[in-house]
Amino acid sequence: MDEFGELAVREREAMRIARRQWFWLHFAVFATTQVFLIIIWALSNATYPWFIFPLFGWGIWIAAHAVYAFVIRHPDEILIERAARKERDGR
Amino acid sequence: MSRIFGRGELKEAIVMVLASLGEVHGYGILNELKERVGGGWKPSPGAIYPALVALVESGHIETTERDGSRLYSLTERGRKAAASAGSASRWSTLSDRAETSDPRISVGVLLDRFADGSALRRRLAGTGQRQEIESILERTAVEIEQALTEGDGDG
Repeated sequence: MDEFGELAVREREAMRIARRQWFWLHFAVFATTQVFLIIIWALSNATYPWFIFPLFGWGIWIAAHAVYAFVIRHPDEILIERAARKERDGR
Repeated sequence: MSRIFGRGELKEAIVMVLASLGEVHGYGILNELKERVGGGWKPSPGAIYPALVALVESGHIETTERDGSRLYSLTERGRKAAASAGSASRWSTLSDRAETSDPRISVGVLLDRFADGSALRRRLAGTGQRQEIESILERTAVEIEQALTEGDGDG
């Protein structure tokens, strides 16, 4: 892999890091809101745990976002990695 | 900026660039694409390199290593693909997309060529064809003003 290829790999890597950072930001907002809602519920006289609805509703989005950030890989990333592996093994 | 290339179009464009440039480095492909598409569109290695890898895998292009850098060229299969794909209208479609995705960029880039301290501006200052250039600029300014006025009327 020459300089051009290495630059491409670094660029893709930066995109992956950015995807993960966005997830953690999303997660922080989610967690803060949920804690806040649970505190309101605990301080109120309500016995029914209504906070579970936003928790599960938003939780589905958080789970989907986690899959996008950590599991799913862009086809271009897979291509680059496969090429790099082939090169390494070929030498 | 919206997508300039549809599915498979970037690979086709790369094949067409290689058909005209022959053996070329990744940066050469990148610069040629930038030049041909225009409109302020800036490709990056992160976008071009995966397409090159895919084209190598599909047997359309081959690579040779020289002095630590990699040169790309068309295979027989790639040349056939280029011959069936190559047309100027393809580039103008891509250019249109690049310009409509953010028209300010291309107008800005063009105007920057006349900016203070630019090479063109320096040449203009020292030219003996003053009258000719003044009439061109005057004509262009009037045409732009007319186009803007008509555009305002439509909107």
